[in-house]
Amino acid sequence: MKLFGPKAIKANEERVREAHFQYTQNRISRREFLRFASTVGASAMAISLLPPRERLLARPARLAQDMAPVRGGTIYNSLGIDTRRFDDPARLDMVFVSNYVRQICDYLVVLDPDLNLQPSLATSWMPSEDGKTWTVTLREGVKFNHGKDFNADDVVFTFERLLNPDNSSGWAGAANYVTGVEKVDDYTVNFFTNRVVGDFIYTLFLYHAAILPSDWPGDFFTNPWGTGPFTIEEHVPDEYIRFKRREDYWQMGADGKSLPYLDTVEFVSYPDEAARFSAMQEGSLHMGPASITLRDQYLTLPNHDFQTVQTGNLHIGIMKFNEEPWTNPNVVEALKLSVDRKAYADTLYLGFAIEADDHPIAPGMYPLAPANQTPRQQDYEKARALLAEAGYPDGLDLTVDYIDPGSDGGFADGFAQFLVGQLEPAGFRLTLAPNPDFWTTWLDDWGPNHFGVSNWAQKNTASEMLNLAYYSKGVWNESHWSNPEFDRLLEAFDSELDQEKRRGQLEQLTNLISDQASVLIPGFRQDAAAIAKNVHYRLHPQAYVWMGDTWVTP
Amino acid sequence: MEKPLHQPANFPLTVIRPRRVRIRWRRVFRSPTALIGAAILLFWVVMALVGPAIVPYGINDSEAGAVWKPPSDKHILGTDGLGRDLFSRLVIGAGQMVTLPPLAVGLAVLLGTSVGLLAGYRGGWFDEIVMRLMDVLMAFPVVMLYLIIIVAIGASAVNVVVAVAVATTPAISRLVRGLVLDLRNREFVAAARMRGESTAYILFQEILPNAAGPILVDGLVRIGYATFSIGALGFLGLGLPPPNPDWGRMASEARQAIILTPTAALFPSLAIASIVVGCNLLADGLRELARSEE
Repeated sequence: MKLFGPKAIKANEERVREAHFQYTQNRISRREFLRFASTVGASAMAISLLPPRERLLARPARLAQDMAPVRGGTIYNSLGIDTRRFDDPARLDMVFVSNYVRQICDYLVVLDPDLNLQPSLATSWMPSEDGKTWTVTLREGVKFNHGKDFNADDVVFTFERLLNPDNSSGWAGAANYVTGVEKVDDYTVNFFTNRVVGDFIYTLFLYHAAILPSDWPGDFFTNPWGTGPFTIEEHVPDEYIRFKRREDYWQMGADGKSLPYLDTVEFVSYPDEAARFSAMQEGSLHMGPASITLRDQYLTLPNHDFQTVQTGNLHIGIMKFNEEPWTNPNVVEALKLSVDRKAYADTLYLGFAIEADDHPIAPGMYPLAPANQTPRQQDYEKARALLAEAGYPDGLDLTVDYIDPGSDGGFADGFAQFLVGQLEPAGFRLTLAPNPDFWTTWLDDWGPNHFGVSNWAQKNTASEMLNLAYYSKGVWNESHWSNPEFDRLLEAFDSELDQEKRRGQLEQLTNLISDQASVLIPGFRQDAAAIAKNVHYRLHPQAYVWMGDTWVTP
Repeated sequence: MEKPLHQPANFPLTVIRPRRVRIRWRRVFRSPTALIGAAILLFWVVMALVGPAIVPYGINDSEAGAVWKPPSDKHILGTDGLGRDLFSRLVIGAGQMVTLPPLAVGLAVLLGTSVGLLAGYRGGWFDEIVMRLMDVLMAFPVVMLYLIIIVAIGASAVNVVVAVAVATTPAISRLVRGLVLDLRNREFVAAARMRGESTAYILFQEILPNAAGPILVDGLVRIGYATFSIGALGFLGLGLPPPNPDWGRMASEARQAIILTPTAALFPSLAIASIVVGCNLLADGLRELARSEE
């Protein structure tokens, strides 16, 4: 049976009906059902199968949530990091920085805060019969902020840049199966892949894939060109970025007029949480990220709400698979057994986190993700025995590499300090070595007896996360873990359309990572932000910030 | 009046030496100021010595979920942002706070005294060059100088001592040079020169003992400054790397929870302040005693 292509539309309709039946039987969730339908270009049909009340929920949350928005006003927002200078969206390596781009540029598709795929600059997509060519139809009548009309040339320009090895874009790693992009006509493009990947369309929302115009001369700082809802009025690096609304943005608000609702948005540098809190206290900051451990303190703010959202974001302990002592699986297992996952969730997030068993696919946050299994229980005795068996009866001295607290707001530092106390009784003696240049050496070999700590944001799909960081050729495979069985299984998972089969494959993949990969993943955290009560905004589970549909009551 | 140590037979003059300023330590008990200062410092020294035996928790032990808790029966000074016992971390942290500042100032006194002695005694171009170099160092704002040194050589206990010593040396050398300029023209130095004593002998046997009192009192005050500086370095994230219980870092981390648990920032700050005050009180007391004995 054909899986893809116009001739296979009927077969896909059958599959969507079958998926809908599974949904009505509670075998898959509503989100999984809608996401499956969107991968085969059948979202409209899927929504039509839902009962009327659920159809409303399936619409973009940004439209359903706020029925009577008010226009005008200014919002001061802090992203929790410096408003740093950057010159190329293709080279972004941090979701927080990508949030500047998001206000100026659009993507071909977007994931809304419910993690449902929505069309954006692409209006529809369809795979070919062999599943290796994706035809994407583009929106007409869209203008860039420098006056140029948006068309297929811009999409080809953008993705050729992303695929060009000279640009070292993380996108090329996540979508390592994409071989090229071609213009069909002014509003149609083809993407070519070397293997069948059902989740391909989601990679168009990876944060590097902001659509730039084909006449873009380079340097985003001086040429911030895009089709997005805002333009930059002023960017003073490490102080603030002020955005002002575009009058001719293509997307309509709930009131039938062009978005955005706000006149001005200012992202202010407040990397220091104490300063951020003071600014909120005195009323000069509407919103900003907040530490969950300071929840009770934020609840004292009279004009702000404390909003949380479950995410698939995670802390990771990196053990280089090709270096001592991690070449010995007993040492890796000993380290994993030394961490109390409940203590991790309770101490770093006051319980606002899901305990994890050393794999990156958070339950409920990715379609088909395996339900939460009971994670490894802390067992110091067994850990010490494994270390002794590996030739370290007196324990091990490790240097812990991670980004210094000044650069990431202390995300990695808190986890590293927590691990010192957790690992000590098992015999792992950690010396912390925070380093401002961590991201320049992160993927290299570190030499023997090094352990690393970093921080990952949730990705759009399980496939994207696994291809980036666990596939042996993944460009962000930080642990250097390599497992031929895993690679084969991941390729099979990518090309499979049957949801039940995919569910089983994903469980096998996560089990392989949990059992064998040289990574420690103790939990999936909730993100939190303090948001002024008069600001209508909903946190996105992937830490994406889009102010296009935010509004403020006077 | 004292006699010279040795007088050549053909040298009839009796040389008048200035009375050496000696501190009689037993008389410290007569100065309430010095006594209070000494008691505060002694308290922290004792804490540093017996601390590891009396603390209820390890410095890295965290109680799951007990984050930013105020003082309670279980944690008498409360907990920090990782559920670690503040009392235990404060007491263990005392070890570095009673060793690093004296080490840093000791090193600075060694360097500053050597430079000041030579520059003051030899004078001329040597004095000009060395003291202008010291002026250059003093021209830097102290915190900026710490930042430059620590960023260049990295944060560790040894490097913190080196940074504080380098920043403290110029002021000590200037003080010693001033003392030497006064002492080198005295008769007992002239006599030693006429006796044919070596420069080293004159510097270390004749001049230095007579300058020791002011250097000692100044050094004590500087130990207080050094404690404050090491606290400031920790506060700026340039002190001892985590998870060392660095008082400055503890105060800095607790700053974000200042509304929730003000005591978490207060106790490490008070601890730093107490050592600074202790050093200053002791130095003031000693100065008073020295004056009363002159």
